[in-house]
Amino acid sequence: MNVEQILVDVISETVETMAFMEVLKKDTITPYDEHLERLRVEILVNAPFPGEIRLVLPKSLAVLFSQNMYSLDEQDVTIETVEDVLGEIVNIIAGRLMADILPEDQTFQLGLPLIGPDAFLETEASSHAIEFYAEETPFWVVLFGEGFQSSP
Amino acid sequence: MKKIMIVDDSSTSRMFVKRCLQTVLIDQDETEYREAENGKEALARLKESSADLALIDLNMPLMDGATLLRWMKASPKLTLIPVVVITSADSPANREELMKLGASYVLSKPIAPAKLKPVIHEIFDMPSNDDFGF
Repeated sequence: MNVEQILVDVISETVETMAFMEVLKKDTITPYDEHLERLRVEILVNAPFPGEIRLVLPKSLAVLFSQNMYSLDEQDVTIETVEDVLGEIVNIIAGRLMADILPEDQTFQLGLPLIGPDAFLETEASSHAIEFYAEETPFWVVLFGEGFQSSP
Repeated sequence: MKKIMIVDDSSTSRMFVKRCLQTVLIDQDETEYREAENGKEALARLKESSADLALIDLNMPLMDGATLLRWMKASPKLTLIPVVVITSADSPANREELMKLGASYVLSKPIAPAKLKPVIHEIFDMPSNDDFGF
């Protein structure tokens, strides 16, 4: 099973279980829209290899996730709730991904989630970006670090 | 009354675990839920008033779940509390380490009532529907 397939499975399970929304993977990356307000939440991989797992999504989708998880109306969703929801989602994605790509006897260490606004979908040579859809809205997961590149 | 402590730095995760517990324990006697944001807070609260079950996350600031587990198992007052670790970092290596530290069960996030039900039923010695042949 490759990294991309593991990510698809983890993200699907996480968003469907927690936010009750179906997630689909897209084979291409949507061109950057500078008018779209986006949030970025990232978590560092400290061991066994240096890396980063980053979730980038429109703020509107982050609010919708929060609404569904907490059974709230849109106007009742606070930024603190959104940040906590996103932190938990990326925490689950990172943990499950690392557990599935590493050998069974290998432990790993992750940092704590960091959240902020996103200006554009940064990528670099050793990164891998994947686009997903939920409620017809795209969101992205970017993996940084050669440890993700060498996984089968 | 059952007393259940939920330990996780994420309020979303605590809410989710509590919601799953409420679903699993829906037909049971009243349950008191207590929450803590990290291991240090949980330990202090458990020392004041013990619990019948603790569900803990691993990756937390101040005191992580593994350290909390070590402290609980070292305390005569807290050592008998069943501990269910609910974590996204559920690998065989991590699981083995946690069971050695004294965890009763390790469950992977995202948690759902179906995952939690058999564990809760066993801890609280509750009959499952299957016991009645349905």
